[in-house]
Amino acid sequence: MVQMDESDAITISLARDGDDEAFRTLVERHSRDVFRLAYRITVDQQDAEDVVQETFLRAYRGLKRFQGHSGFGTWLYRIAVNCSLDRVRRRRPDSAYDEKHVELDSAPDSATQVSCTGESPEAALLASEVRRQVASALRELSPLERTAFILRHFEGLSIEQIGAILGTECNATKHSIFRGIRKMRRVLAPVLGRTP
Amino acid sequence: MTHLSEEQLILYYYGELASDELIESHFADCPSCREDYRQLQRTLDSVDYLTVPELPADYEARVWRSVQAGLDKPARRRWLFSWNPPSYVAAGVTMVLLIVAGFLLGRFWPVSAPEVPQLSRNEVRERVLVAAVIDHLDRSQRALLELLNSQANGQTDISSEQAMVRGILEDNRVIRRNAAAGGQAALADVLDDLERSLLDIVHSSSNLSSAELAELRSRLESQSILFKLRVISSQLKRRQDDAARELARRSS
Repeated sequence: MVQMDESDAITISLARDGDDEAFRTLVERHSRDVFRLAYRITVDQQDAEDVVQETFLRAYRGLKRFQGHSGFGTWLYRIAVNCSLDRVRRRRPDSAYDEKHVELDSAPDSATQVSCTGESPEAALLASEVRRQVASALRELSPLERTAFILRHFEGLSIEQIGAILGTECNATKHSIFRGIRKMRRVLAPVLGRTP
Repeated sequence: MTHLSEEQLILYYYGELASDELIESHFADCPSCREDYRQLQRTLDSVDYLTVPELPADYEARVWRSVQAGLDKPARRRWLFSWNPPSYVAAGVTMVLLIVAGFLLGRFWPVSAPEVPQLSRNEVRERVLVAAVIDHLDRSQRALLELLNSQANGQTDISSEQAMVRGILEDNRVIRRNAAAGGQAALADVLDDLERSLLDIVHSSSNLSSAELAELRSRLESQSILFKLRVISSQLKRRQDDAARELARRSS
């Protein structure tokens, strides 16, 4: 997750006073993290790029209201999560998590794995299938479950931090994660083996 | 011995427990929970296969350029408002500007605005409904496929599939009633068949022997429900594409 260090605090203070160069520093410091998060929620490169832009534009406009209570990273992630969820909700229901898109994305990775690790074509094929199924499993999750899971699993955020981003109580956050994982286990069971 | 819950195992996996000792000492005596944890670990580790696309080396600079372009408008606005005359002067000047702008707009604004393709309320409603039905049919197909493809090893627990099907069943009733009320007989018929298949699954026992599972599969297959869903789904998708093409034609 994006962390706010001392230099962030100074940069934010300058950006808040209208220093565009300071804001540029914040954009350049955090854009990859925001892209990664947005991509995992939307699973669409174009959507993720749009989310990055929208997140920083909203952050710029809201910078004066940022009090620093929650940390810049949490604040920025909250904006990015909202933008990503807006995108996902605006999509046609059947276009979310386009499996073809995931397959195309996964193809070069499989090839790289074969050449770099000496994996057999069968293993590469299995990896590709698992990737496709993981995308499909994520599709079964509600936007809230998916986001809570992504923030916990990929971003390594604590339940408390996730609750702060999603605006949910600790128990509700936990249950979103539990429900999400249960659904994923069910969908992935045919590929990975025994279901719980 | 009380076994560990899935929730405890998940919290343990993510290091969210105040202490791991209880779990680890339980693992030492309980092969079943150890195996459950291994399965959970396997699923959660597999999620890491979902990679993020590589970004170009100059990604940050690109983002800044696009963000900067979006900042232009507020920047100009700041310049305009940086002029800070007494408020009554500003109000007077604003009033004059508005009157002049209104006069010019009235004089030069085209009498008939260029036509922009608009969707009627009915068209919008129709599009939303079609998208919702397609999504419902896709979900139903996935749920049925999951059951048809599940492996039969002795007793098979289908409770999770039944839970999924229960949710689909509720949606199906609403969509079927709407389709029937809207005069879409073919769709309503297929949804009626689907409802029977879904009820068959929901009313089955949660623990099926290999023979019972085979019987359920055979009943589902004999109704050709998957085939019917595919046909109706592809017809709806075609209708959706036609509507999109029609809108594009109207806008060109």
